[in-house]
Amino acid sequence: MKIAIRIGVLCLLIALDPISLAGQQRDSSTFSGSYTLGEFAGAATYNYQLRRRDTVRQGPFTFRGANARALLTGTDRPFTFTGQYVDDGPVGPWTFEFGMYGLGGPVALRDGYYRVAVDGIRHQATGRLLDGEPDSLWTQTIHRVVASDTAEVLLRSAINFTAGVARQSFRLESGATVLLGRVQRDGVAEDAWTVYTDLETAQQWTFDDGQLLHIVNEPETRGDTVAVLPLLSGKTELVDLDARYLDWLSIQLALQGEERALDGNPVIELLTTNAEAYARTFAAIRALGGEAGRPLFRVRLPVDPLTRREVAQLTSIDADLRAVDTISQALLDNTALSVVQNADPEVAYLRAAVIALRDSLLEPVRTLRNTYEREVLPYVSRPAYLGYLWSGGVEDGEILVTYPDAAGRQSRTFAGPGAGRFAIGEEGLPAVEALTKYVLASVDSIRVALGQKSNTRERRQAVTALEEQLTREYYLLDSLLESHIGVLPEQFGLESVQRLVKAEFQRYAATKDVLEKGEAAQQLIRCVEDLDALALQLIRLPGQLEEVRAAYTDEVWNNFTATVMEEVVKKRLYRAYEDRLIPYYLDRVREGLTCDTAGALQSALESLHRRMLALRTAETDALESRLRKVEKPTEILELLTASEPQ
Amino acid sequence: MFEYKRSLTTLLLVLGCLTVSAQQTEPVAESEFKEPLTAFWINTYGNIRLSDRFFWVAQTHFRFQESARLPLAGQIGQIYNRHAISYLYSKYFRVSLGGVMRFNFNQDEVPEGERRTVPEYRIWHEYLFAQHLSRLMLYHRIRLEHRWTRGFTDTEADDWIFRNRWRYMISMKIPLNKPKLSPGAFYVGPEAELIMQSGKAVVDSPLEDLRLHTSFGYIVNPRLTFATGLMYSMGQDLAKGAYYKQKWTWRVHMYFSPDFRKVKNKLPMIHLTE
Repeated sequence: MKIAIRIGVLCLLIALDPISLAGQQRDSSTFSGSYTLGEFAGAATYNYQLRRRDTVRQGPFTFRGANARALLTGTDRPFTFTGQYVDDGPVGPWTFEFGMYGLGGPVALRDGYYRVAVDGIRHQATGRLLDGEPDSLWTQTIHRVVASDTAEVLLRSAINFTAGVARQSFRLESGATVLLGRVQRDGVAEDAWTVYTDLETAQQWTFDDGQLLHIVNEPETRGDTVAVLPLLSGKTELVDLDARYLDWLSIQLALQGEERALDGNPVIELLTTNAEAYARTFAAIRALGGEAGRPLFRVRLPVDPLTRREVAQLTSIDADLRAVDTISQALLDNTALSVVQNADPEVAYLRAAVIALRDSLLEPVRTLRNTYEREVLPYVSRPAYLGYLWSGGVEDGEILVTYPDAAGRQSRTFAGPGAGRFAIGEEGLPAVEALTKYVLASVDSIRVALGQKSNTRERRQAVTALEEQLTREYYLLDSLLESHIGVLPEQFGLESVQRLVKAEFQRYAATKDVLEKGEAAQQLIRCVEDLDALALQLIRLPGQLEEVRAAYTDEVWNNFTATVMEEVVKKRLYRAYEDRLIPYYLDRVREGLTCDTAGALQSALESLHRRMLALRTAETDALESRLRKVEKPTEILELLTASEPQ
Repeated sequence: MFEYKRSLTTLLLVLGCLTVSAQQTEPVAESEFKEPLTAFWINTYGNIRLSDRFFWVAQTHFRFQESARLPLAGQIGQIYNRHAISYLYSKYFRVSLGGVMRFNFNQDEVPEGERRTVPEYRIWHEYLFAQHLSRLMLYHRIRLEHRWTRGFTDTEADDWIFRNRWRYMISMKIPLNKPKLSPGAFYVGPEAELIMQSGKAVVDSPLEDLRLHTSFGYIVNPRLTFATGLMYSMGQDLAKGAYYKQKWTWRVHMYFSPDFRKVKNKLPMIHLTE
């Protein structure tokens, strides 16, 4: 029996042999034509092999892009990337060239060709890649270009890399200024970074294991030292030497009374220009399929993470600031009020109060919020920073407002609801939070006061006109919904659209204030338009589902049954669409639909449909194998859009 | 359809004549049905697509049968290779022409002086008619084989003989869980096949085999189907027409139909004369 089975297996293998032979066939071809990688679009020439159904780039690769139309209408950003691929990964020597050009000089027409000269900058980067990461010496050169000729050198940078990490010494140069420095094996700043200007030592930054100890100006003559940090003993963290670090440095120096120490500092300029050059190069390497993305240099900072309480306070401050901005913007943009304030000094006073509250009282709060948003706050001593922002330690809620009236300029003190003194120096963040809430309450009280003043006939007429438009839009949407509800299955969610539009109308009807009514009517019109587009999309959806199903269904002849059988192709992709993505979007329509989400849902469904049709003919083996590992609709969507040509 | 009816009429006429000639042989007092044997067949059926209308038919069957110690798969009976080029005329009709090379294995203890295996050769052609009846499919298959066989000894009695086989099969495929035969469908396939034979060696045994088989199958996709079923068969002994052999066979089938053509050649799908 065993022998018989072995003979059987052997015969079967012989019979199936053509299958394995066919599976091993590989084509090697050359592509030359339009090409898009991430944000880069142009024309490419490269060799590739087809493995299964994936395109694997192999050998020399050139990719260029330039847009004459963009140049003629403003600025063009041409690029040229040259190098080679092995098994679809960029390796070996690569050259990147980026430009940013505008028209410069006169235009000439010769032999039927227009000749134009350009002004701008030219950035070249060269180096080797290993496993998709920078390796060995990389150089960056940025020239200013005037009338198509290179003028001055803005940056010459030479950095050694090993497996994507900066190593050993580096050199950054701009004009007569040269920065020499070195880093440890893991890219951490070390020893003295020295700036030479015209071969004279101009400045020295001293690092110890990533920690910037001090900056010395003209060490050979003046020896003017700015201490940055004492040797740290508490908790520290390695961070990237990037714009955030430079933000931190300027705050740290400001806290020490050295606010102007960094003005026009050559190190800052060199590091910033160099970081921008590498950001551009790394973005290109990533678009080509490489891994580049590690920070260039790293530095060490003291860290005191924000407590949960502090985060809550800062979040509340941020929300209140946004609310103040929204209300004050609406009040200041209101043209009716602009007219009224010429005749009514009270209106002029209240509007001036809004400006004063928004600009002077909240100015330091905004600075604090920006520092928080840029994620610098955990590295700064909070009491010291608040003490710096509010130098007196106390903020008074009452402010002096200057405003124009018929007699010239007047001044009056403004005090909002709950005005008082905010002891920021003593209480810290809670007092800042209270101050922000006070400003919000004040601005809101002004809104109410101005609203009562603006219930004029003109306002009412404007609102009436808006309401007429609203009625028309609503009628169109309502008749669309009425004719399809009950016909289209409930799962498509038209009922939710109808419920939402009715609820929004009731909310609108309950608004009494004319000022608010005008704004609310405009919002509702936008909402009804978005819902109308969404309803149309939902009505189209069954047809689109059928279109996608037909696109993903092949008719295959089965010779055994002598019938034509329908077979779903790219099953994993189609199932993800049918079983995950469409139910996900319909769930979002049926549950939790709002005016804010309607527009996005409509465009998401529309673009998903287009994407599915495009993917039918695209190479999707890699995408389908990645889909095997994901379940969540959001992750599936990420995969589908990540593979989308930009 | 006209062609199909004409072919069917011709076959029935041939079968009728054979039956009449069988009836004219010397009558025997009583026929005898032998004890049924049991067998186990593993059959692979390949239909490799070559072009829109041509297929390479490649079938390999491993046929086991009972031994003194073990029922069903006690010993190998035959290994069977059937190949042909098949032409798809329309959805309703196809024709195939090819050859068979089969190895017949001597059974049980091989007596002295007898070979262990002998080859058998056939030329065959087949005419398959398919009918769509509501949700099920009905097939009529006419298969004609020209067959050279020999016995296991080197004696004159076991020398090569030539026979013709006249086969007609009616079969159905009935989907169970789907409205039609489609990927993911389970189906039941009843079959009845009558195999008649003629030739100098055929004296009183024209009925070589009558096969009644029902299989239960699953269509994985248009290119792969599995099925299994039980077959009862009976037929006359070549040398003594009065003796009827009987057999119960458990059959396992794999149908594969790869299409190695480039994608662009597969599209657009030709629906063949609808």
